[in-house]
Amino acid sequence: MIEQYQKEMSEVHAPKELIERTKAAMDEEQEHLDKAKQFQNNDAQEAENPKKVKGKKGKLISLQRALPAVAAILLLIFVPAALKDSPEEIPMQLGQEKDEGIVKIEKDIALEKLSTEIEIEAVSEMPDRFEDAEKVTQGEYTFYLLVKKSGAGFEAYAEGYLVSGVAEDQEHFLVEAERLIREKKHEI
Amino acid sequence: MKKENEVITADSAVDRYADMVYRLALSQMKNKSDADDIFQEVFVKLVSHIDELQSWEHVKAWLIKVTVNCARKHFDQYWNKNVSFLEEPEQLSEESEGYEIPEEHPVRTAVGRLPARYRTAVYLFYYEQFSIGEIAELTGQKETTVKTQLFRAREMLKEMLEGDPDL
Repeated sequence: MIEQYQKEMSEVHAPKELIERTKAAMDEEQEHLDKAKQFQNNDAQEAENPKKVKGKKGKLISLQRALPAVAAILLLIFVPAALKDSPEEIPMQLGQEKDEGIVKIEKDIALEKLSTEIEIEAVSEMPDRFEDAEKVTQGEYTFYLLVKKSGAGFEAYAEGYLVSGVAEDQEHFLVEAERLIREKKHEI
Repeated sequence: MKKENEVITADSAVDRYADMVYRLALSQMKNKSDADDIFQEVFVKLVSHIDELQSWEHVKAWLIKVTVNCARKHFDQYWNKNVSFLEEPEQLSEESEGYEIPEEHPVRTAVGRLPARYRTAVYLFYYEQFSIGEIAELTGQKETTVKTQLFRAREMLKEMLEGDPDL
């Protein structure tokens, strides 16, 4: 009976058409996995190093850092040129407005630069100086916040991370701090 | 053992074990289209696990385990949809498969009439020649359970094939 069973089973083969269909489905699955992997790698890389472009000397510079400078240069080139093109249509006061506009844009750029100076580091425990710090909730996290005497400087502790730097105001600092912590946690 | 320069890929695993997976799926499901589904599901799953498998022995064991689990899952779905909770599997098997055993493959047909868990044990023991311990590990059962399944399967087969002059 056993021999007969073995003989009968050995006559059973997977149909060629089924094998081909399965291999095609496997190729699709492989493609899907490769894409997912690539996507994941890109995300991780982006979190580690913000997008970089090659500078004149072939040195890599951070896009995030380069953007405000590029914006300022473009504004300095195009705004005065646009004003020069149609001098009759521009009333005298506009000169003043133009200057104010440029000052405001430059201020924004300076603030944007400031926000990139916020730093984050992982710490094993909350430093003692935060014990009496103000508790502020931002998004998912509760921050122990210290404001430096200089005004624009902040220091905060949350979720095992110490965030410090200068920002336009407390709200901007906390928003940036939350984003940095989220980014760090995503890396893990 | 993995031979030198031998690359284990999902594609080569299909070439090597397609018949084994198909036979196991067919012996589990009895119905060809369900067996086809299981076959495809198992190999598509293999794509994302092939890197973890170090040798052909690992690949073979993985394929058997996953085939048995997929078949069990399909069977459970069928069971939940179509069978009342109190029905006994042995009764179900005999009542629902009440057909004549064809002459061309009488033993395979008789094995196909056994309850699903007996069919797995019979196929792995008598065709793939695994030991009782290995079957217990592959199917996640105790060795004594596998022994009992094989014993009962033999008894049922004897009864079914009684009077067949060729056996």
